[in-house]
Parts: sequence; structure tokens; C-alpha cells
Amino acid sequence: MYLEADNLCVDRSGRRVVDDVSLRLEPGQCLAVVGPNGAGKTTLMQALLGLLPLADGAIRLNGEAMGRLSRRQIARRMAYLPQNYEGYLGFRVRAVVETGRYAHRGAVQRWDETDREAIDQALEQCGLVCLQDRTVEALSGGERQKVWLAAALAQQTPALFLDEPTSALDPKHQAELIELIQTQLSTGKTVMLICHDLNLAAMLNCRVLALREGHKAFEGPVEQFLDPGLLRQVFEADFELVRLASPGRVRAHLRVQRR
Amino acid sequence: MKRTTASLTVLVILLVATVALTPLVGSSGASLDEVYWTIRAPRLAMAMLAGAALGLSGMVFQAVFRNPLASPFTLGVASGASLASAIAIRLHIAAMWWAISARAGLAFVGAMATVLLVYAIARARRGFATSTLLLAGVSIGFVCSSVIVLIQYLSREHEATAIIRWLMGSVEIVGRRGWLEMIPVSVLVVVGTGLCWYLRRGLDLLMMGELAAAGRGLNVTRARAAAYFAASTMTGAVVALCGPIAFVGLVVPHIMRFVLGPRHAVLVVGCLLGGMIFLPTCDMVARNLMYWLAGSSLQLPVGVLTSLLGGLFFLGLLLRRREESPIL
Repeated sequence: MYLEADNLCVDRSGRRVVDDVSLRLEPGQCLAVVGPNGAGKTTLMQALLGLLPLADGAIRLNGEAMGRLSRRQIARRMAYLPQNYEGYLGFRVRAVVETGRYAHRGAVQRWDETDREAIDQALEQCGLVCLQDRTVEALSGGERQKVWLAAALAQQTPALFLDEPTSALDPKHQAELIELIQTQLSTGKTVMLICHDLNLAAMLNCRVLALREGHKAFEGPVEQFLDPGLLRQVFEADFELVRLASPGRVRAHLRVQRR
Repeated sequence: MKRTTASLTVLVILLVATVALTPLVGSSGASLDEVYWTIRAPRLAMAMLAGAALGLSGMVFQAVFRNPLASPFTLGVASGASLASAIAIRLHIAAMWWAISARAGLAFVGAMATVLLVYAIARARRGFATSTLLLAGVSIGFVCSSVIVLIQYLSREHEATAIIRWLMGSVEIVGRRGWLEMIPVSVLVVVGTGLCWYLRRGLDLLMMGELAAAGRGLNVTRARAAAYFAASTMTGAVVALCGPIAFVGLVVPHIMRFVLGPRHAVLVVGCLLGGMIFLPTCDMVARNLMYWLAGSSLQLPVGVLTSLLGGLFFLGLLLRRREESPIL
């Protein structure tokens, strides 16, 4: 999957939220979008998925104009994990994961062996096999997040778009989710994720795209981004860089001054 | 899966019992043979048709709005039909076209006009947001109700009574004309049911949120519009003939969701069966209630009973609701 976006501009409620952002997403790449709240990260992701009208600019998916693709064609190439789910009203885990096959089977076609395999595999990868007959409401926040990820994996797309996949999770679930993302990357999938945790980007060794007030403030490897001056410029907050024992590993640590 | 099959089997058995038994209950001066085909059977058929259409539409509206309080009438279908009907009654429009009375025809036109108006308003304001649609439907409903009150005020007593009786909702339908009247309604209901069945996976996805649904490959705008029009057409057709029979479209999908779970592939069948059981049974009780209680031959319109039951049902739901329960 090869995604090209040129000079994207997106308006929301008459305000320009993404302003002149260009990017390339190549097969097997991991791209982390970072930036302060309201910088336009989620809007950028949704625009790339073809979910929002563009005020200006163009998006091409494998060379084809995004506007000419149907929702199902797009969903066969890119799976989306939104930040918040609005409702789940009593669905069982397996039923939620099954919805991932909609892009492949459409409204009426019956599930076949490939679908069942994809669903079983996604449940297995996310460690949900023994929870598959529970209702989503009966699960914890961390388990729910894994259910949504499993549904996106069942979609079996070459690219995953994850909006803050690890926020609001406890350390154990965070670790599990990060491992899952690493596994996906190692199988050659493209991953674009939005995160507030810079160390997540560092752990996954991503390229970083930093947004500030809708503009692209930085794009490059994560090592280059972890620079106190640059971080201060993007986030208006002070970071201290910590060098880990393993060579070449740097983590950013937020510094809070007591007044 | 086993539980679902068992529940559906029970529903089919209940339906057979409803069809076999409800027309036999009741008192009349004439023999059963005389009443059966001219009065009781058409009434049973109408109740089944209306129950199925309202149950299914209620299910669709609750899914599209992800709101357990949405009903087939939320978007003003019933208000439009009622207003048109009130005008027809006040102006004594009594023409017939084939088996369709001008009043029923006008009511259907009124229902569809309201649906289109509400849809157009929602479309004009930020592309079809569900909240705008809901508010537009509710406000159009209020406007229609107040105009109906005005018409009643300007009517002579027997006209006002006729309007009020119509607003109560009834499946009373008689003889050969009654059978013929049901034909166009049943065609619309069958088409609407087919469309709901086609949309079953889309409705599941819509329940999980619009963004998620779009991400899975559903064209949300198109699916929602199709569901909205399928449900409104069925409701409009039934309401044009029977008047607004309240709460069936609220209670049936609720019970079915509780019994069968949230998946629409099963729910479509469940709501169809549930409506075909619930409304004829209510109608049987409404017909005979006054006779059982006071030996009177007065037959209540079924809408009175469904409103009463529906109100109590919701109170019950509210009282036994668990803190975390997502459905009410």
C-alpha cells in the first residue's frame, strides 16, 4: 500500500484544522503523528482515510485518486481504529470482530472459510479467544481496546491507522498493544498511529510527523525529533532526555517545574 | 446460537397460536362463520401487517439513531399522516380510488412529505447529522400536532370526534374492501422488509458508531438514508390506514433485543414475528376488554391499549435498569 497526500487542507466548522500538509506512506513504514491537543492529528488521519471532505489538496492510494474509490475499496486497504467508540449495545466480542470482514464480503455474501480464519486469527493474536462469547460491555477498557484492534486486524489490510491506541490503558495492556503493533510491523504492514507518548514512537522506532496548529512542524526519524529545543517548540513544554543502558536508545521525560 | 434458534422457534409457535386463536375470541350476536371472514380475519391480517411494519421500523430507527427511545414516529411520519388525515376528515374528502380511500392516500402522502421535509432540513444543515434529523423530526411533529388541534377547534363536534378516533389508532377493517385496502400496504411492507434484510450488516455497523462503520467499509450516508426511507415508507403505509398505533415500534424491538441480542440478521426476523404476535394479541384484548369487565359490547381501539402497555413497559424498564446497562 502506497499513500500519497499533497498539500492537504481540511476545514472543520469553518476553521482550517489541517493546513497544507503533504506526506508519503510507504509499504512497511511506521509513521507516528504527534502534536499538542487540537493540532489536527485526528483530522489528518480521518482525511487520509477518505472520511472527511478536503478543502484543498489531493490523496492518492496506490496511485488512484481517493475520491474515486468506494468505502469498501478503501476499507480493504486501510483499517481504522478510532479514538473513541460511541456505542456497542450488547454485541459479543466475536460479533464485533466479524464486522471487520464487511469490506470483503459486503452486505449479503455469507462468511466463508477465509473469513472464519481471519476472525479466528485476529482473536488469537489479541488474546481474545476465551473472551469471544462475552458481551463487550462486560470487558474492561483495555480488553475493549483489544477487541477494536482485533476487528481492524480481521479486516486484513496492508495498512493500519490507529488513533491513540494506548492512551487510557494500564501498563500491562499498553505493553500487549505495543507488542501487537510490533508484530504487525514485522509482518510488513504499514502503520500510522497518533500518540501523545513520545516514547511509544521511540520504542517502535517510527518516523515522526509533528503537527502544530494544523501545520507540519517536523518530519523525520524519531532520534532527530527527540531534541529538547524541537520538543519545546512543538509542545511548549520542557523535556529532559534520558539515555537508556542499551546503546542508541533515548527516551523523553517531561519536566515539571514547581512554582 | 442454540438459544437464538430456540427463541425463534418459540416465536413461530406463538405466531401460529395467535393466528389460530385470536379470531376465535369474542362475543357477537351472529355466528362465528359469519363474523370470521368479514370482520375477524381481515382485522387479524391488518394487525399482523401493522405489527410487523412497526416492529421492524422501530428496530431500524433505534439502530440508526443508536437511541433506545427512537421509534417509527420519532421523525414525524405519524404527525404528517395525522395532519393530512385531519384535513381530509374536516373537508369531508371521501373520494375513492380503487380500494384506497382519498383519506388514506392523503395520509400516506402527508407521511412521506414529512419524511422528505425532515430529511431535507437535516441535509441542508451540516450533511445529515443524526441529532439534526432527530430535532427536525421532533419540531415538525410539534408543528403538525398544533395544526391538528387548530383543525379540531375549527371543526364541528362529529368531525372532531372522527379526528380524535383516528388519532387513537385502530386496526378495524371490514370485509372485501378491507382486504383490498391491505394490498398496497402489504406490497410496501414487503419491499421495506426486504430492504431491512439487505441492510442487516450495515445496521450492525451503524450501532457501533459512524466512524467505525465507515472505517469498516460502510457508506454510512447511503446506508442510513436507505434504512430511514425503508422504515418510513412501511410506517407511512400502515399509519395511513390505521392511524398512529403508539408504542408497538418501541416495545417490540426492545423485547426482541433483550431476547435475541443485538445482531440484525436475527433481529429482523425477530421483530417481524414479534410485531405479528404483539399487535394482534393486543387487539384481541382491546376488542374484548369492555365485554370481560362490564359485559359491554364497546370495542376499544388497539392504540389505547398499546399506549397504556407501552408506558408501563418503559416505567418497568426504568425501575429494573442496572446502572451500567446501555439500553435505557
